[in-house]
Amino acid sequence: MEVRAEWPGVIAEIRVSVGDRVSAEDELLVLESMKMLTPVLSPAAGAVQHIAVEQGQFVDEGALLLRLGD
Amino acid sequence: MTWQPEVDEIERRKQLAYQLGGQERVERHQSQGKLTIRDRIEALVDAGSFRERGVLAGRAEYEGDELKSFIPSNYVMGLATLDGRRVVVGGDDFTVRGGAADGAVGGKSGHAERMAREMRLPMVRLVDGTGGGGSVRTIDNIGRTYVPGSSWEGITSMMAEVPVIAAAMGSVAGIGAARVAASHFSVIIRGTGQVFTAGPPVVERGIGVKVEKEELGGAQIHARKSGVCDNEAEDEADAFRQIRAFLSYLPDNTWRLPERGPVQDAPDRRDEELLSVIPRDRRRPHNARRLLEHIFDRGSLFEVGRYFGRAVITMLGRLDGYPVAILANDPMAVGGSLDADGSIKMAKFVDLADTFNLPVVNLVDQPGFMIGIAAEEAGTIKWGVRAMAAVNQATVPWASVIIRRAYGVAGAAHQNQDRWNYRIAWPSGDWGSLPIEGGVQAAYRRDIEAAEDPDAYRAELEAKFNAMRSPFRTAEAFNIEEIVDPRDTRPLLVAWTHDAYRVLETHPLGPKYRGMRP
Repeated sequence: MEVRAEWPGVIAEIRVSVGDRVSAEDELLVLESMKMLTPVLSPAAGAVQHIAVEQGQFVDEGALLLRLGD
Repeated sequence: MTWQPEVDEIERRKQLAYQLGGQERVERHQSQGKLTIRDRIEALVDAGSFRERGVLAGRAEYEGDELKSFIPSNYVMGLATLDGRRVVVGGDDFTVRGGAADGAVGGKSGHAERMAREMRLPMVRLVDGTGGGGSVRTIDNIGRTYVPGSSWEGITSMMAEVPVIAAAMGSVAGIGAARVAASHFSVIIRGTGQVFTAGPPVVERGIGVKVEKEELGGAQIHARKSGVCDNEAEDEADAFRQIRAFLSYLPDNTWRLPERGPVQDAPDRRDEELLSVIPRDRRRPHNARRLLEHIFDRGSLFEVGRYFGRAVITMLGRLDGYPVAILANDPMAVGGSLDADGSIKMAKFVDLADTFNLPVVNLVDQPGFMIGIAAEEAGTIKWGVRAMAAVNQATVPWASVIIRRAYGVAGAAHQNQDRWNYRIAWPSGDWGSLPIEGGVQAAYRRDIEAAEDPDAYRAELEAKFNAMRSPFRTAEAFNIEEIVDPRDTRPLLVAWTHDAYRVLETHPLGPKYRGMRP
């Protein structure tokens, strides 16, 4: 499952590492947008397979942030 | 001689109508988790209250005088009570001609809608039809083509008169889709409800794209991306629950005021959490929905359009039992900034409140319009000024609580600035035309560039302006009327709501005229 940016912003924090197991609603990353640190929550339970962004990186709306697997 | 044979015939024909499209089609329909139309109506309204009209309508074939076959009209409608109030309810029977409107016979659906208008009662549409007269079978039946002529004046006018609620309960196309969209509140059932201007076969033929109905018009499109439907429902029972909940806040029509509902919470409740709900760090968002629960009557909040235009939260709720329309900004979505979708949602919701004479409570945390290329492409300022027009055309009592930010043009749109409104602010109030962080750079660019150490000079300027940022300085100038202890918000708004409903008693009622919007 892909987690994508719902709006543009800068990756302020990455809260998980590849291999971490997460539950639905867990905080995966923090995206700074319009000067607000908004948490990106996990859409479902799963394991973090791939993180596509780095801290400080600008992402546009729709950009791939990370990928979750079983 | 009595009329008993004819009376028996009424019953016999009713039984034929109750067979819908026949056992096989009914079973196929039910196997998809769908109720038949009369079961849907029974599940929605108060038990045993449905009084059907037009049950005898259908297409009959005769052998001599003898009725040989009967296909009932595929639109079922009548009067019922719902939570004790009168409503008109009508819906499509998918098992006859896929619910297509040409199977309805004699304009039954138009009759139901006119009945709702004339009787000034809410209209509930349970839509499950594959199209309008658009079926080409009609051409074969009447031996000619025809100029399309869906009557739309009534559908439009009734939105100014009575609550109109629509549920998309199956694959809904053409006129059915239009009837879902032309409502005050619409709900789509996840997995079984789809809405589209035209379904997959027409799409494939017209633009050569093969697409499944769910990906073309399912809940993930219309409740999450397009905003065609306000809410999504897990199943039919959930859709009926949402319809009942939505109606509970509204009067029967716009000539009546909303009625006080259950009083289930202490009017003077002062939740301690409100003192710390806004983080002191300006970049940390708060949980806007939890905040609302601390203010409005417990268990009274009903959210409309949660997954569309997410930066704006629109809810119906109660204060000391009185229905109110609630606007709030969600700092966890686009930082709470007003974007195109949020503006569209806000304008519709303000219109809903104004149409049904619901006082509005606006919990303001508005950083401004969304910025950037995508926001410009989406027409943010166009939809934004439409939302502002809705706010300024509204005549219902309006209360603003500035809980945090109010910036720029969008921030100014938190109320009609030329009218008296009840307004209070929290100590976390933070406002201006431009935020100091970016505003200093914009206003002092030359000075900053010319400075020996530009970064240090910018920081010095920002520190100077931040020192003037205290809301108390604004209150000194009476530019904000009152700064309150956040814990007092509920008791203050309860008192205002009582006043608002007293004002509404002398408010002009009925359909409202609103001029052209930008």
